[in-house]
Amino acid sequence: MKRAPIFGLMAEFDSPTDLLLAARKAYAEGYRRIDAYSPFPIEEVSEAIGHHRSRVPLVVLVGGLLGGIGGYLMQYWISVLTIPSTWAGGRCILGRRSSW
Amino acid sequence: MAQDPTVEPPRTGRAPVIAPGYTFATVTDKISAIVLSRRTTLGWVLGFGVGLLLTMVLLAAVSYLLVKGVGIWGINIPIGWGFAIVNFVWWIGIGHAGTLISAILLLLRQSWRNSINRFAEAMTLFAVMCAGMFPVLHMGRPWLAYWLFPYPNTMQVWPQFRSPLVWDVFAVSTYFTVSLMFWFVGLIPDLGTLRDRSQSRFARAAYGFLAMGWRGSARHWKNYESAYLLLAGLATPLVVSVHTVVSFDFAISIVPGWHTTIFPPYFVAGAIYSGFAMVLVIAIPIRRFYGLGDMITMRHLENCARIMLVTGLIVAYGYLVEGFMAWYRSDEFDFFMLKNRMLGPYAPLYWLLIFCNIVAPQVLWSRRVRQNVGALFGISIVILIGMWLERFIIVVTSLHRDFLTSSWGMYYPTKWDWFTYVGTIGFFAMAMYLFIRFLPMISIFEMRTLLPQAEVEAEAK
Repeated sequence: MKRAPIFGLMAEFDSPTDLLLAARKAYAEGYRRIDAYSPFPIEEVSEAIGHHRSRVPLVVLVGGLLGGIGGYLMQYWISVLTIPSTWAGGRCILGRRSSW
Repeated sequence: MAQDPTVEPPRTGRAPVIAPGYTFATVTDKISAIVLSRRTTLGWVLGFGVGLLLTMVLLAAVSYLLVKGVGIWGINIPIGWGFAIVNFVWWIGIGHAGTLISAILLLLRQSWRNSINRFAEAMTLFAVMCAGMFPVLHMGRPWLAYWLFPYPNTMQVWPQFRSPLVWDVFAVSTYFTVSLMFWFVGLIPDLGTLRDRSQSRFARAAYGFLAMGWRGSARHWKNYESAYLLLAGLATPLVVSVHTVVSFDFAISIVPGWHTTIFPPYFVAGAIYSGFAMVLVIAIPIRRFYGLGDMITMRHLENCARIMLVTGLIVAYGYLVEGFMAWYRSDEFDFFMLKNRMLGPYAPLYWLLIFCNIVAPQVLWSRRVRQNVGALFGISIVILIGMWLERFIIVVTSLHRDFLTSSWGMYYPTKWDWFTYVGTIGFFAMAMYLFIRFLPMISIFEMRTLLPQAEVEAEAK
């Protein structure tokens, strides 16, 4: 019978320290397609398997910039373009359908 | 973490954050069993039933309101704001403790937040829901509530951007969105745990759907931690900003009593004050009836009591400055407002408020009181009543006697005011009961991180 090629290898560890040491060793041996699973976050492990940077901060930054600029543009559109108002620095003449 | 949370800090006499002797498995079992395997208790059914009943009262009161209009309430001219706004401010204030616990204490790395943050955040969500109902119902034509948002329309009508009421719309809707996101993101790893442990097919599918493919991989955790931290950073300013904007409703007008600069800090302190009282009112029964005293320890209760003591003193300072400014400004009407509060027709409520918010909580200076669960529960209820009275005094006494004696009036709530108010308390209770039954009320994975076994040994670092 022909043996199927090994697809992968799994191992279970009792403590976060063992998991971390094993992850480091596997990475040092040159393995790259590795992952480590744990029921709680262990900061060092993601570093050990070579996952250094999360893209989440970039996504949040882009979202924040878009939201901020969008909010500003909305205010500009409302207070300067559609209903010019006097209270944003006295730039425009009296608003049309407003309470003042 | 510098200290082992299972050990009492030396020489302080304080309880540990989590009782010793737990393992990853026992922590998970204990919390998830409440949702998955333990029988629903009769107490739960009764409590939920009462909440449901009162929610029905709320629905009846709101239906009648929609038929008849706000005339069924006690509001009039000059007191146009009444119960609706009193309850709005009260509820939204209560929510603030949840955000403080989950966001600010996370950034400050306080390990004692871990067992109370989950249900405190749920409390925030439900409190903001209750709060949001009131201004909408108070508008008179609630079905046009969307007019509060700026959107292009054929009438060419825009919200009045100079009005703090419009700022409120933005503040509260942002607050609700961020709180919901924060709460849900915090739940994801635990939803994964529930998915893996649940026996029924439906529960597995439901929790699995909500867990969004959580597997606990190191990559997941890395992304998760940074997302959670960023959300905490976003939520932190909201702890201060939301109630600041709410306080502007009462700070930027020219009516005596609604014309002051002390309101923002004093409202924020008051919000956290009442919020922690509500946290204790929820935590103490939960801890008792679900036997969670090992996880919600005396340390948590005592810390909450300390925060109440501090914020209570800030609130007391706020009252003092309000009184001082009324005298110092040498404005006849301002001084009259103060006198009218202390000696006028609503004076009993004012002095009751001073007793509830300033006098009674001073017993928290004593360690014996802080260690006494029953006393803490009682004090928390007193504070919640006091903070409600504070909003009542601010709303009603400032409006009922302004500059012209000809426009003076009195405000008396009607039964519909009471039905609506008690109804929201019922809705809040019902939502909390559902939450306790169907979601882990203590963050399982954060409790695991607290255990000493979760530490990577020093030589491996």
